[in-house]
Amino acid sequence: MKLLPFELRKMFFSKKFLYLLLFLVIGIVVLFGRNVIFQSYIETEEMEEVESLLSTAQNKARMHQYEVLQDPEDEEAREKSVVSGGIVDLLYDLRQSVGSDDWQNRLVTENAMFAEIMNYKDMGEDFPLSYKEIDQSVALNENLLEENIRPEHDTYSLALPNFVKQVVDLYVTFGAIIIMLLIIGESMSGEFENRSINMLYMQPLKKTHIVISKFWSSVLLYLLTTGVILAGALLIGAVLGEDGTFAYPLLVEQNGAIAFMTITEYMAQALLVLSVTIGLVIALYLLYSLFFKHTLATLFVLLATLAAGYALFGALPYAGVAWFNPFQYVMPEDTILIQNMRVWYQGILAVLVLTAVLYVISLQKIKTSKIDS
Amino acid sequence: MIVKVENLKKRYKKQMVLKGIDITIDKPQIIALVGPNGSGKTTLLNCMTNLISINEGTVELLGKKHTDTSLFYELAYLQDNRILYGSLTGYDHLKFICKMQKIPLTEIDAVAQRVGMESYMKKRVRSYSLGMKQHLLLAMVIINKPKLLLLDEPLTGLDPTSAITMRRILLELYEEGTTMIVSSHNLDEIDRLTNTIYFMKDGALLKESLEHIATTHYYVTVNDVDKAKEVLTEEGLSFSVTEENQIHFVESDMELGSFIENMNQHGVGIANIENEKVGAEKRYRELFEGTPS
Repeated sequence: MKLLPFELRKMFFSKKFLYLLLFLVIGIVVLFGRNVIFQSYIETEEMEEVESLLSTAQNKARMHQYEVLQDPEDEEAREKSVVSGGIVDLLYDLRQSVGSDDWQNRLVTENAMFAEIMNYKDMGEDFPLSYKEIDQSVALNENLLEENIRPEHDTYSLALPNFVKQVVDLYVTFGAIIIMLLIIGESMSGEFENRSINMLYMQPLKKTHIVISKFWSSVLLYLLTTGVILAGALLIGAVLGEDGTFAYPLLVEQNGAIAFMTITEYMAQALLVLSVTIGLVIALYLLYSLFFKHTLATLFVLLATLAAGYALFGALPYAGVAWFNPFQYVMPEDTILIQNMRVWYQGILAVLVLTAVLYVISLQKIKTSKIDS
Repeated sequence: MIVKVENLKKRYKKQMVLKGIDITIDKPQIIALVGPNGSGKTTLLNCMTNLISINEGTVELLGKKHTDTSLFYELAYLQDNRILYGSLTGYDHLKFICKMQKIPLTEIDAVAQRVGMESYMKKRVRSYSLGMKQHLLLAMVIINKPKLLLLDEPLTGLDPTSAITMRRILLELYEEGTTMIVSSHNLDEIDRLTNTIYFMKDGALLKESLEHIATTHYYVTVNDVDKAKEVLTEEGLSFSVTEENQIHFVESDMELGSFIENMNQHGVGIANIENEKVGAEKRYRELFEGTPS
């Protein structure tokens, strides 16, 4: 492990890594700035949604009133007219509450409206909200009311926990893989290209130590990068953001049923599965570097492997395949939030096993590796 | 045996780039490896240090197989400056080598002072000039006081001051017992470094070009050629007589001073002395450009 500090210094003090960290911090600030700018849009967006539903509901109500006028004996039309009228009334109430601080009242009104819409749809009528959307919205509202947690906008929240979650979402959804490839992208293949690997090859050390040190220094840089991103998001959210709670509920689909997890649970799971996937990416990168000795070729084949693996395993129709799919965490958000016929941690073992196999193959490969072959 | 290379062959696809090289070095010396681009100089050095694979033959350095990584405690190879890491300082590079080769860190200051890089040792390599990088490379290869030092174009791109420093240090190392194989294009510098030159052409080492190439040839007109021949033969000295009846000898066989002293002692008068410096460049032109000597 004498080589590890040297490798770490080399990568840490590279201009690219330092610029990347700076870029990430600036990116977090920009993201927060965007959320601030779009605060006024949140109310507009909510109003537009309510207006759109109101317009639909009014049309439906007028249609049923007309039907009643046409046939006063038509009980079904009369009932539909009453229900649609109720939806219109609740939407008027909801419109009143947009932008107000009384969020509990708004959620109660929303749920009452959803109940009426369900009732209406049960009568065989159409409404531009699916049963699934209604169920999920009602469940979330009930949870928020039960836990006494103010609802936050999905995208433009200024609350510290929700903002941190947003940053983590962007990071885990392919962002981390791209960032890691930018950081380690030249640590092995680049050394073959510019021949700096010669310096390592001409030391009295086992060549396997080169792979070991590059793997673990990449892991440590990943942890450092993740730490910087989390710290940056927490700091900016804490200084400039609003209060919130890390117990904020996130909706999870489990075998068709609705469940909840907190932001803390979500981030822990997302970062865990991301971390094991990054280990796989690093192992793949090192192995491909030893074969191709060319950065662009290595990165291209690596990305193609990840994309193909994700698509191919995802296309397999068997539920049990999740136990053996090492590529499922390339996009971990869906894996955690949609757990139909599987659980989020099922693929971790497969990722770790594949990583270990690739690591061992790399150790064997470098033993016979020369700069020209 | 310091270097024993036997029938070393290297092929890239169908092209044979080293065609059965044999080198034997059994006592410390400086050997220059000279040849045009693509002649196989760097490939030979890379093969010797196991950086690239060989197709045939054997390489033994300092009594060990060239694949033995423990060799690098006693062997060093100076390559081009691309092997340096721009993000690290010169000190980082030297510290790394010290750690890898179990050399006390106190050697860093000593070697930095020797090559004259103390003032910029703590700066990042990305800010170094070509000469500064070359000094660092030199420091990196001499810090372990190697018994065998391979140098690939060590003088390329150096300003005169840096070249003089480099040459001085290499000659000091030679005095300390280090054997060196230096590949170079700089024939003037090679002349000043060694008179043992191996010429490489199309992957082959030209056997005729071994020693006594770079030296001074003397052509002396004496008043009694027969007497001079007798004296020199008795002394067992190498010489020849030219068509113009001049005594011809080379400096490496006999110094001019001792020749004059010998002639004076035996009453042979010297009428005229001509000398001709035959350097690596002349020989190079003969071999590679077909210029007659």
